[in-house]
Amino acid sequence: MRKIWIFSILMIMLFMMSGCSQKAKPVAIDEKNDKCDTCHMEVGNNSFATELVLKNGKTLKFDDIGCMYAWVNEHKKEKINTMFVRDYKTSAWLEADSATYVYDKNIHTPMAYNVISFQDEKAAKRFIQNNGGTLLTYDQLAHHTWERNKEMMMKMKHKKMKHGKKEMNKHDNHMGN
Amino acid sequence: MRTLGWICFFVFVLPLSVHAKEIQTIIDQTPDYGIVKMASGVYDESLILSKPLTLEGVGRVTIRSCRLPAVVITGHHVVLRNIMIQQCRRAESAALVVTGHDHIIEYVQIVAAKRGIQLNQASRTSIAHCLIRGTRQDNGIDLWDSSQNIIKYNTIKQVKDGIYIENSNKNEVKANFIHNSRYGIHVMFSDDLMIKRNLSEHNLAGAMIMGTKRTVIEHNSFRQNNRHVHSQGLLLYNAMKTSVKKNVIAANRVGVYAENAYNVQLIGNYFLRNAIGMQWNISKKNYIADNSFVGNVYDAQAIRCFNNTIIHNYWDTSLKLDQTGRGFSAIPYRADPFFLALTTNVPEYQLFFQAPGMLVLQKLLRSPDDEVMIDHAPRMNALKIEQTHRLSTDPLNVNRMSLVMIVGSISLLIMGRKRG
Amino acid sequence: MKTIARLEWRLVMRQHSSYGFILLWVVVLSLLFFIARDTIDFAGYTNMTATTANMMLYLLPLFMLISGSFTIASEIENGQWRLLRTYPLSPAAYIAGKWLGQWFGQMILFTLSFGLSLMFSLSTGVALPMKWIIVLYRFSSALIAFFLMIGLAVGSFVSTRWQALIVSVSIWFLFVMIWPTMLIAVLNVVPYPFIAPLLKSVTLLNPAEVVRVAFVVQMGGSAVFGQVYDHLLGQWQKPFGFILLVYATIYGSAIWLIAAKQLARRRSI
Repeated sequence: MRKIWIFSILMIMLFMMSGCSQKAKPVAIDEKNDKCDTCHMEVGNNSFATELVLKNGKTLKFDDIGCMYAWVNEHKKEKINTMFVRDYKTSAWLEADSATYVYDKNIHTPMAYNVISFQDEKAAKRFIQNNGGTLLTYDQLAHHTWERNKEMMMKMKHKKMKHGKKEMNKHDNHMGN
Repeated sequence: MRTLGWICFFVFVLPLSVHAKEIQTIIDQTPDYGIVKMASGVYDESLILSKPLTLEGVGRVTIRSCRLPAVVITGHHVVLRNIMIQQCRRAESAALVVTGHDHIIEYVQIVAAKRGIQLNQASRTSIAHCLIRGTRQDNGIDLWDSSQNIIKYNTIKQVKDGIYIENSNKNEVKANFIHNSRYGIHVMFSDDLMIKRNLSEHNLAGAMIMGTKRTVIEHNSFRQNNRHVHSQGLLLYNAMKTSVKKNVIAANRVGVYAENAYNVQLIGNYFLRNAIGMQWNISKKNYIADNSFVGNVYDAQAIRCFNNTIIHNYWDTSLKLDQTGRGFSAIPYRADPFFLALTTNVPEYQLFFQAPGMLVLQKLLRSPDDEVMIDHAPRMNALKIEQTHRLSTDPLNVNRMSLVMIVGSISLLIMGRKRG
Repeated sequence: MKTIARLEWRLVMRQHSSYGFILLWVVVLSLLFFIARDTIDFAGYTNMTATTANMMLYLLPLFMLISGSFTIASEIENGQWRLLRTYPLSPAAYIAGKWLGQWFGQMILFTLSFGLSLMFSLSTGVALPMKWIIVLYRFSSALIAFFLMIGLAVGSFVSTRWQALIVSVSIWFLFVMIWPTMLIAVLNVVPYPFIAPLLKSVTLLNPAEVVRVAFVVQMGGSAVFGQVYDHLLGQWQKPFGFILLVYATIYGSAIWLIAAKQLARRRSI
């Protein structure tokens, strides 16, 4: 009797262990409780949210792609399984290496790293056509400087004052994060 | 019934649309620096104030607008006074939009569906004695690229961030009261701000100061920001040369949380009854002195911090021994990092918060001195600060209860001892 | 069962050790209330409430385990139990009666001490918030109830008082002193995603932890346990007492059944 018990417990343990070696899946954002693991702000359930799944199964959440890269750079020893980003239009989860990125200082992201992600390249190019910006692949993103818009803004200040009206409309719906 | 409806329509709607037209026309006809006074009533129109003039409500003036901002202020030297602004539910923009410079906005009440006041490239503008109530969807007062403004004596509630300041320097935020919102005061990438004498309570976070330089935070009260699992009184992230002095930080989940904070001066603050007084993570060259820690479950925790000076603070639970008679203890106080280090890696272990066994483990695993924030000369007595409200308890009730307890149990005890 | 309960209650009232208990509780509680005088007020979850709760957690489980296990162990040791075996009394009723009597008796002692300490603190000018007093009292009575039951189970397994003492102290050490250390050590080898479910389920085995968490939640400090437990404790806050009661009933009856089964097995030997 006792042996059967031990055996079944072992089986359950094995089953559980095998479960975690499977491919990582993105976890839904819990707007009430999730906070960014880098900057400690609330993570909104929007297209800026990103996730990082470690080899040990721990999931970290970030409110900005830049925050995720900041974490990766600070924790070089951690083993990363998968990084997830979201499509700018549909907010569908994508694996970071399959996404296309657009950087532009006028794109407002929660922590002002100004990079957004797209599922397909065409949509990204269309966005650039309409709003301006630079296309970045996943590999290029690894070498991105992650300069925040603040420094940029200081330099741009005088230039911006001239066409303030146009800028103003854009800022009206900037992310209030 | 239908006829009655039509009558109501004519009676109420027509007069409104009549004088709504008038206001914008009157504003346009008014000479520069003129005064327009609005009579009591409800006005369904959005107004644009683009030249220096004063718009003042006499009595109860309500401006209602749906899609457009109710009032847009541009140019310079516009004064908006004693007006109530109402937004309907489907509003898409801010209730009051301000650009330009040298405006005065006072005694304005805003019931906002989205953002309350939007400052966009506005400078030297004063917002005072305003009352903003939102729907938690957007910020109360939002500053973008706006500098040298003064925001004082406002009451803001039920919004996302009470006062949100991004990319805006040298603003003063004084004596505002922000409650039941997400973050009370939220600053991002802005330098030289002055935040004084504000009261921020029952928010997710009292104040979030991120990516700033030379912020001054003095005499504020951050209280009871404790209902959320990540709540804190004051958060400093990437904040350089911040001066945090003489604030009262009470009954928060975490009093002050600082990460990537450099050259912060945390002096003379009163940490009262927080679950965790202060937490420090990856911070250097900060100066923490003359603070009082009273009634916090944990006083202080710090990990990955180096070169910080921590001295002359009052820790109510520490052992104290004054050898020299100068009012400082010879026994150093150690802010044990063990629990913070443990829960940073595995947040699940927070369940052991103040568990009796956890205290034993902490005592056993004494962290090496170079990893620990140590106050080498703790203060013997707390510095005096004006006392916050004392909890009123009814001693009579307690008295009665203790009497009932004593009498009841003694009679049962005697009954039990009787033979029977 | 009634007879056993009444006998047990009377026994507790007459024991000399009972007066020792009263003295101990009065001294400890009065000291705690007296320290509280320095803090301005301590409604809500503060250092004072946490310290008081921890003091109770150190003391109550140990003494209740010992009282519970001794009441059965001593009857086994002095032969009274053999005598009882000849009566038509089911072991389940025996345990239930013992528990009722002990709990009633211990509660009388604790209530008396609590009342005296309150009186004492009031006379020295310490005004304690009513809510805090009620929550602390409930917390203590829950601890007494749980650990008496576990104590009785211990008593039904051991054959001498000496053994009862050793087992009681080990259980106390396991549940109160070494609990986090042990769990952290074990859970460190478990893959990360299983830490939370395992920790939650194992915690349910330890009434000291459950009661402590309940105490913190009632004092309004549930946020300190972090995001992982927010769903649980957030939902708990309203029907909290009810859920705790269900938990207590299930846990108590499980221990009760184990103890009764063991006694029945002993009887048949």
